[in-house]
Amino acid sequence: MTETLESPRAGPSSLNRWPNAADIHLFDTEDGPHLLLVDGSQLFKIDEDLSRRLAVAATDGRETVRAVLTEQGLGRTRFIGDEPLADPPLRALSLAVAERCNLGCTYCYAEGGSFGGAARNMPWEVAEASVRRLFAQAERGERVTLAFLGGEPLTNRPVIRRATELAAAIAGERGIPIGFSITTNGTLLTPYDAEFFERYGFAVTVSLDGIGAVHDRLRPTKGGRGSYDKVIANVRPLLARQRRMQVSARVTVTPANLGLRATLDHFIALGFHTVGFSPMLSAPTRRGEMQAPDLDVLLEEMIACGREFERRTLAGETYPFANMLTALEEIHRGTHRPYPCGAGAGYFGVSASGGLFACHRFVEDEAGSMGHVSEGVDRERQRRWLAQRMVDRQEPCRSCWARYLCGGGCHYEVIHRGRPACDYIRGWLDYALGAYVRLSAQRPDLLARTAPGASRSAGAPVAVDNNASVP
Amino acid sequence: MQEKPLRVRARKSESKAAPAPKSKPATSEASGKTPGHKIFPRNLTAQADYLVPGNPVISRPEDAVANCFPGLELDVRNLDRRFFPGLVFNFVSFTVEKVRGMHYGAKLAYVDVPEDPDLGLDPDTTARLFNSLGITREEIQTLYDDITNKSDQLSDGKWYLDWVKQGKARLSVGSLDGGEVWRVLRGLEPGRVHIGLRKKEGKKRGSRVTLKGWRRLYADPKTGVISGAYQPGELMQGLCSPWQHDFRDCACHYWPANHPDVVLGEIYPGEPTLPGGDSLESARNVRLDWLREDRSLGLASAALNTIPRNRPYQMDHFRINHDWQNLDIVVEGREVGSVYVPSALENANPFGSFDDLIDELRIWLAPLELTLIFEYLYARFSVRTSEEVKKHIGDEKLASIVDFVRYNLLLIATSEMHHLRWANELLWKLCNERGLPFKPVLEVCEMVPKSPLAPSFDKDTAKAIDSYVTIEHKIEFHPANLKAPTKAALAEFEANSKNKGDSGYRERALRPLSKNVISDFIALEHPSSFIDGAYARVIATLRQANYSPDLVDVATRIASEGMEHERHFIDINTALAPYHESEYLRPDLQVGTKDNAADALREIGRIVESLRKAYGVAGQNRLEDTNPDIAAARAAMSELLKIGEDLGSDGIGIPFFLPWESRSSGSSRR
Repeated sequence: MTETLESPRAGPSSLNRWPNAADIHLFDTEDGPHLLLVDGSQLFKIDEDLSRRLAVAATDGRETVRAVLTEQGLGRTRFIGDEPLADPPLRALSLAVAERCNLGCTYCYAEGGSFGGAARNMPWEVAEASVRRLFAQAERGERVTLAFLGGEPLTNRPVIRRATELAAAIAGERGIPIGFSITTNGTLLTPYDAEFFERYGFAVTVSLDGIGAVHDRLRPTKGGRGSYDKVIANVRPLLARQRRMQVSARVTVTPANLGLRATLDHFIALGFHTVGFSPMLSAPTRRGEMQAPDLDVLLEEMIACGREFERRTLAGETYPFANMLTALEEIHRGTHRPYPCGAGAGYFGVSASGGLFACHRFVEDEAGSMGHVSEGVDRERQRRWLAQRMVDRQEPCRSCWARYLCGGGCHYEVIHRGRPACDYIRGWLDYALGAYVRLSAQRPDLLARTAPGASRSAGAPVAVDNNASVP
Repeated sequence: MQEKPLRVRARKSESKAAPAPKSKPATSEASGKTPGHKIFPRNLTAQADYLVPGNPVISRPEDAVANCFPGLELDVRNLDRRFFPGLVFNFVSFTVEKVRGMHYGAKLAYVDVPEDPDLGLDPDTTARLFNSLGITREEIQTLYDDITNKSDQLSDGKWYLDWVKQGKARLSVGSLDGGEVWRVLRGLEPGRVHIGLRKKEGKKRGSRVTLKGWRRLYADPKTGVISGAYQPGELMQGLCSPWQHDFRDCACHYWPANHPDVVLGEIYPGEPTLPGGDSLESARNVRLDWLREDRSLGLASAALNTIPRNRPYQMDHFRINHDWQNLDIVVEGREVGSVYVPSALENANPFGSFDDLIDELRIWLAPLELTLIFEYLYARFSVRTSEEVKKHIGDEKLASIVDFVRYNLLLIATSEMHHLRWANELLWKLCNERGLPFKPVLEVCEMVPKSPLAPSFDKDTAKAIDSYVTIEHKIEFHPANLKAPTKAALAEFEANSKNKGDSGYRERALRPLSKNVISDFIALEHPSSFIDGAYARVIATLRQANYSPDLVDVATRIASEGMEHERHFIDINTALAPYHESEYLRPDLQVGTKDNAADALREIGRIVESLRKAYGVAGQNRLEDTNPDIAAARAAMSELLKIGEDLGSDGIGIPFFLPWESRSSGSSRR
C-alpha cells in the first residue's frame, strides 16, 4: 500500500514513515488510535481527528508536528537532552573468568571461548582486584552486580566461588546490595553448583538454542557431538531448586533455528524462570548471522509468541516470554534512553588479565578498551565513547521513532556489522505497543506483576547478557 | 440583517456596565490550551507529564459519586442553575418552616453576561454553538443585547422563573416549589428555549420579562469537559460536606445505614444489673436517641417515636462537628463506654457429655421452638386487623397499633421458624460429625418453661433482686432435672423436688394475646431465662469441645435473637398498655376443631411433612436437594396465613397442637 495524503495511515506502521518528524509514532489498536511521544516514551490514546492531524503534520516535518503537540499540551517536558552521560559511577562488572570453552558454537563472539588467543583462566588476583573495583565507588544502599562469563565460566569454578564469597562479604559489611549472575552453556553444571547458586541467589542463564538436534547443530562440542541432552539433564535439578536463584534460558536465533514458538513452549514447560530470544546479528566468523529475509521470519515468529503470551496472560496463566515481559515493563514505565545499554557507562567486562572493556563481548577487543581494574576506568576514553555512542548522534537512529526504546542497537554488533535489524526492531516494538494497549485495557493489574525487575531476586540487570538491541 | 456593532452600551450606573464579550472563551489554566481533542495518557511517563485539561479530577462526573441528592463530590443540580445563558438561578424550596416573605421557585440570583462563554461572538463560540445546537450568530447577538438591556431591571427586586417553553411545550412554573421547577428544567433538551421571568414583591406579582435563548450544553459533547460558565467551586456547592453534617442529615440513608438510631444506655462497670445486662433501675432501660444532645441516660433522654419529634433534641451541626468522636459505640443494642463487658452468655456451664447436648437439642430446644411458633401465631390471629379496629372501635391510633403488634408477632414467629431450622441444623451437623443417625425434630412440648415472677418494671428492692436471682438459679438447673417436656416428667420431678411451689413450667396453650400472655412471652424470651440460658450452655459446650466454628455461630445466632424477641414483646406491651383487651382482641376467639379448621390442619400437615423431608435430606449433606420441599413448605405457609385470617375473623383460632394431641392419645399423627 502506498502512502498518500488522503490515507496517511496506510502502510505497516513498523516502517519509519516520517524520518523528518521522528518525534511521534502513530498506531492503531482495537482500542482506537494511539500516539507514542518519542521523547519520554509517553503513550497516549487519542481520537481519530488528532491522529489524522498529526499524520498530516508529520508529512510536513518536525516543526509542524511540534506545533500541534504544543497546542494540545503534549510534550511539555524534554526528557532526553543533548549532553552525553558524564562520569557515571561503575555499578556492574562481568568477569571473563575463563577464556576457554568446551563447546564450539558456530557464532560465538569469543570464537570458541578464547577470544582468538590462547585459552586461559582468570587468575585469582585479577578476580579479587575486580571485586574490589566493583565496590570502590559504591555507597551504602546502592546496588551493584557481579556477573561471570567467558568462554564457559564453569571451567574456572574456584575463582567463581572465591569471588562470590568475597563480594558477598564486602557487600554485607558495607551495606551494599549485590546481585550475582552467570551465563553458562550448561554442560558442566553440577548439583553443587545448584546449591551454590541457590545460596547466593544467582540469576543463571543457560544458553539453549532449540530442542534436541536444532540445538546440537548450533552448539556442538568441539568434537562435533551434540550437547542438548547433557545440558537438559544437568539443568533439571537447578530448575527444581529455584527459590532465590532464577534459571533462565537464552536462545540465540540464527537462520537455522527460527522455529521459536515450539522452543518457547518447550522450555517454559520445563520450568525455566524466563525464556528469551536474541537474534544473532554479528559473529566473528560471520556464520549464523541473520539476514534480511531471516529477520522477517523472526518478526513473524516473535509476534506469534507474543500473541500466545497475550492469550495466556489474559487467561490468568504465567507464560514467561522474556522479550515480551521486558518490552511491556519498559513501555509501561516509559523507559527512554539515549544508549542501548550500560556498556561503557556503568557496566564493564573484565578480561582474564584484568583489562576493562565496554562489555563482555568487547573483551580483548581494542574497539572497546576502557582501562584496567587496577587503575579503574579510563575516563577520557569513556567520555569519548559516551559522546560517540549517543543515539541522537547515530545514523539512521536520529530520525527513527524507535530510537529511545531501542537505544541504537548493541554496540558490538553495530560497530562490527552495522544495523541490519532496524525494521525488525521497529516491527517488534510496534507490536509490543499494541499488546501493551490490549493488556493494560483488559488487565491493568498485570503490569505490576509481569515486570521482570519485580520478580528478580538477584537483580542482575537485563543488559548484562542480552542483546540490548532487542528489548 | 444589519449586524449590531459590538460596543459597550452606555449604562446609567457605571458599575453595571457590561463589557463586550471576550474574543476567546475561558480556557483551562492547567494546559493553557484550547481543549479540542480527547487525549488519555496511558503509561507512567505520559501520566506524569500530561494534565488532562478541564475540570479537576474530583469533579468529573464519571469519576464521582455524583447525584442529585446532593451527592458526595458533585451536585449535578448545580448545572441547571445556569441552564440559560447569562442568568444564574437558585432553586428555593419549601421547608418545614416557611420563611415569611420568601417565595419559593427558581429565583434569579444574578445576571452574568461577561463571564458566560455562550454569549461570545468570536468565531470559536459561534461555530461551537452552531455546530452543536444550531444557534445562529444573530440569536447570540440578540440574546446578549436583550439581557444587557434588561439587566438593570432584573437587578432590581426579586425575579422568579415564571414559564418555560421549548418546542411546542410551555410550562408554567411560577407557583411551583423550587425543587419542582428544577425537575422541569432537568427535562429540557439542549437547544432553543423561551423563558418568562416575573418579579414578586410580597403578595404582589409585578412586571415580566421575556427572553429567547437556549438551554446550554453543560459539557462538551466530544471531550466531556464541563462548560466554562461554571465558576470554580460552583458545582460543589451544597454538597454533603463536611461529612459530619451528612452523617447527621443524610436523607437517602447512606449514613444511617451505618449508624444506630435508637439504643439502650450504657451500663457502667460495677453498676448493679439484672442477669442479662439490663440495669436494675427500670428508668435506665429506656431507649435513647443515639444522636441526643443531652448525653444523660435517664428518662428525660428517652427517644420519642418519630424522627421529626426527636430532631429538636438532637446534636446540631456545630456540636456534631466537634463531638462526633464522643458518640458511643453500640454493641448488642447498648451503648458501651470505655469498657465493654460481654453479656452473661459467656459464663454458662457446658453440658457434661455429647449425649447430653444432643438430647437437650432433640428433646427440649427444637420442640420448644415449634411450640412457641404455634403459640405466637395463635396470639397473632387473636388480634384484630386495622380494618376491624376502624370498623368496630373507630380509633385510628389503635388501628395502626394493631398493625404494629401483628407485624411484630409475625416477625417473632418467623424468627422462631429460623430457630427451628437452626436447631435441626445443629443436630444434623453434630450427628454427622459423630456418625450418628439424624432424625428431623418437628415435635412439640407438653410443658413450656416460664418465669414464675414475670419481671415488672419496678423491681428495685434488694428482696426482689434476691428472689429473682434464686429463681434464675432454679431455672438454670431445670433442664438437667426435668428429663422431658412432658407432664409425666414434671410430675416425677415435683415428687422428688425439695423446692415445693411453683416449678417454673406451664402447659402449652393456645391463648389470645391478653396482657398476662404478653407477660408470659416476655419472661420466656428474657435473657438468661430458660431458652437463653439453655442456648448459652449449648454454645459453651460447643466451644469447649472444639467443634467447627459454624456450629457455634448457629447457636450464637439463636441466642442473640432471643434478646431481640424480648424487646419486641416489651414494645408490644407498651403499645397496647393504654388499651383494654376487648378493644384490640377479636372477641370470643375459640380454638378450632378438626372439622371447622380442616383446611388449616391440612396446611399444617403439609408444612410439617415438607420440612421433615427437607431436613432429612439436608441431614444427608444434600442441601441443594432440599429446595423443592422448602418451596412446598413456604407455599403451604402462605396458604395457612390466608386461611388463618379467614378463620380468625370468624372467631376460630387454628388448633395448632391438634396433630400432636391425636398422636399422643394413641391415634395416628394425621
